[in-house]
Amino acid sequence: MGVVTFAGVTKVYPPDVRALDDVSVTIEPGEIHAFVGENGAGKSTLMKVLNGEIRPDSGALEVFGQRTSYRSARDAMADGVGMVHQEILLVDRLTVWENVVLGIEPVGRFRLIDRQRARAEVHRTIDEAGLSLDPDVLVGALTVGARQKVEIAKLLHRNVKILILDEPTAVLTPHEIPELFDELRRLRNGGRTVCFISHHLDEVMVLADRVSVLRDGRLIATVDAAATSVSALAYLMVERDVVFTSQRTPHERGKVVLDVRGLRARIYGSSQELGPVDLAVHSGEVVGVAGVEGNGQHDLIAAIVGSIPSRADALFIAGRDLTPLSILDRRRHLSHVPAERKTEGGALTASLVENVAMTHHRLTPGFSKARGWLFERGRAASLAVAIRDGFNVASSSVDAPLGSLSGGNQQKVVLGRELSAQRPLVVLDQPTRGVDVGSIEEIHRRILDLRANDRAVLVVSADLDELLRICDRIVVMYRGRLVLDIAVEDATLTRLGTAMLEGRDDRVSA
Amino acid sequence: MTVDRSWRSALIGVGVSLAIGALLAAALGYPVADMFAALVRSAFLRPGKLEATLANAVPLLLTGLSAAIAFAAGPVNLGQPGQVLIGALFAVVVGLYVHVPSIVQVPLVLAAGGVGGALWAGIAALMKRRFGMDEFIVTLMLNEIGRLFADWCISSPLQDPSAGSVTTKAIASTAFVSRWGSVSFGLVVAMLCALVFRRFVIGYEWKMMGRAPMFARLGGVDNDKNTTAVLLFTGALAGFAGAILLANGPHRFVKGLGGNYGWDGVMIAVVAVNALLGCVLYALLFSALQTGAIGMELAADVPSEYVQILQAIVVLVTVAVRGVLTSRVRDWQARRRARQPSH
Repeated sequence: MGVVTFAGVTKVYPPDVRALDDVSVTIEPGEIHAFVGENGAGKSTLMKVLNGEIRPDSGALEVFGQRTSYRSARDAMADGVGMVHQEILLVDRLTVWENVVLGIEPVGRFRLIDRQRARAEVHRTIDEAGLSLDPDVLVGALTVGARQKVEIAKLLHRNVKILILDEPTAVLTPHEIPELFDELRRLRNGGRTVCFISHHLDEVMVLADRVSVLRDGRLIATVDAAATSVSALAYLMVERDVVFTSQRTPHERGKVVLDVRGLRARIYGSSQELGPVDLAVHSGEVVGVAGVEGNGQHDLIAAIVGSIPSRADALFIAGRDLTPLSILDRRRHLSHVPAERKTEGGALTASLVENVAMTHHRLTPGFSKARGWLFERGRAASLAVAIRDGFNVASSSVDAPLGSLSGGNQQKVVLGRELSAQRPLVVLDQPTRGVDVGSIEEIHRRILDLRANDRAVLVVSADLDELLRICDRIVVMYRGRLVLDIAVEDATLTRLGTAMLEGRDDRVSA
Repeated sequence: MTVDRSWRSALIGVGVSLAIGALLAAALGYPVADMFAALVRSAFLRPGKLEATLANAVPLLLTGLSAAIAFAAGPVNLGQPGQVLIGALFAVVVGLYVHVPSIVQVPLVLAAGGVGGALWAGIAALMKRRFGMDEFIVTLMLNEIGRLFADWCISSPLQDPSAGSVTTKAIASTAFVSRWGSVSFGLVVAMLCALVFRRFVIGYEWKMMGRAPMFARLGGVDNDKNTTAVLLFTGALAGFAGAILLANGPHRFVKGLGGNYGWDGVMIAVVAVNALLGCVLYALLFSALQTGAIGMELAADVPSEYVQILQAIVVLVTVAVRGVLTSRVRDWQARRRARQPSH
């Protein structure tokens, strides 16, 4: 008897996108159940159905043996179902316990909040669950990992029996992941049921009891984690073999392309300074920038592309001084894939054609005529078709809005646009964040092609496995400075993690 | 969103609005059938009325385009009322003091209107660039300043001393614009706007800036420059409306010349969701209602203010219907698709 039963659940987004197509799966009480699939496979939609945020168009959902008709997440919560979303919404200026009781505060006389009782109750919730969390600290002072625990504590405090976590490890540093897993296991052993979404199959293998694989909105299989493997799951997800090992072949690096010396800027949303940073990227070389979010990696990219003001002793690409140049003029020397695909990489409501025309419309001959006044839509349309076909973008029409594509396909459009301009330097900020496995493989292959063609590549990524797979060198940023600069052969997860979290090189454990 | 469905929701919106308007009139005891018959007669059927409706639609179209283009590109220009008046003020000066053949003077008067509107919007652009002030607030406040400045001009330096009311003298007859001249001007400007967005690099940049400003900026688009350009361009469109109101209308800058054309334009942009063809059609609808109102008042004794209420109903209902219809149609389609087997 399952605790949750999806029976033929179907969800259609008009005109005819089947986000879920006749999905039937049972979740057993007291198990950790992972949902995996490429982007757009339907895992988030399925979990949102369980959480009451999305109403299925047909099919039924049973929770604790009762047929449900949730109209909102609040209904689901009343049934003991709760979800930790990727975006964590907490009040920074309140303490942990205040955040946990927010909305269900126990009240005493005159309907005043009974603070002592509230605090004691939260204390008990946290202790019972074995979360390592101090209820009295301000949430604003917490790491992302600890904030996630506050979200879990909130659900537990509301007596949630079925916890859903949407890509819980995406925001964590490598050091924090085992701790989260231990805590989730403790919750399971205490009788709760955990559903989680992940893109990391190795994590799934470590944590989950059973794994459901979705593809194109359909349930492909539900398997015992003990009886499967990463490559078997990957095969089910994309129905073809995915290469996880590095495809780097030996390649001689050439001359210096990006030459940065003494670069300084303000780190966005922080009182800290970026730099001084010295960094060189050679032709035929992929250099990765690792670091905990907010340590200046993004600002380093912004300073190079010119979107924030900066000072530098030297900022050259292939001998050309960038410091006096505008964003547009810098783009003559570099390609840029920004971190935020939906707001910076493209315009979701504009067509593929309009999205691929950006920057080309000013710099590439043929995209405009009459001295740059008239826009040549036809030229942009043929580039869009070329990118769609060359990058295997699943889209019926190049006039469709970018937002109608899955995340991975959107990113391939952005990458295609940037790579179609032949620039000596390619700068990529989180190139595969929120992208499905199949697209990640394609993007990595493109990056290695750039290396083979003697271009210089600078990649910022929160995914260390990715950096280890594609980079020749990895640098680590910590509080605005480069604290480690090593060849990938010398890099280990521990050594990188220590540099990211503590700003020092832990050579011994390397 | 398909063209087909947006047409449907527009038609349903207008139909429902007229039905609500009819119920309202019936509740107040007016003869509904006579009333609408009179409205249609005096908006279209009576001799010369079709031309009047078309000509009156032109200033509405121009202010509508002004608001729609600004909203579509990002900057919130809510200064149409002020830009209309300053445009008319520039136009009246050229009409009063420049004496050249009509073929030269009409373009000069219209151009002067455009320059006036652009300058007035340009103040907001300057404030934004220099001091980072929000154009939304500045354009809005300039409306009041523009109205008072125009009132002062026509009651003091430009006033016709022989007239008993606050007005300027009539502009030279060589500056008059006929109804059909006005209609052709409106069509030319609308086509120009379409051309800017479809064929010009700058139109592409404006559109991208409106859809995703950070995307445009990182792609090398100069958003500051384009914001200034959009404010000047849309200010000029509203200024054209002022010049047309003057040169096709009373030929004098009388107090209250701008009427409600500025705000009507903003409403048109809202119901048309910033679409160009939508601006044309809603400008025609609003114009027909306004032209027909006078006949309706005469024939059925319905106060012409009733049309303002009807206009407001059209705006609210159309926007609401669009929202409801879109989500309902989606739900219905989704359920239907869900029942069909896939493949």
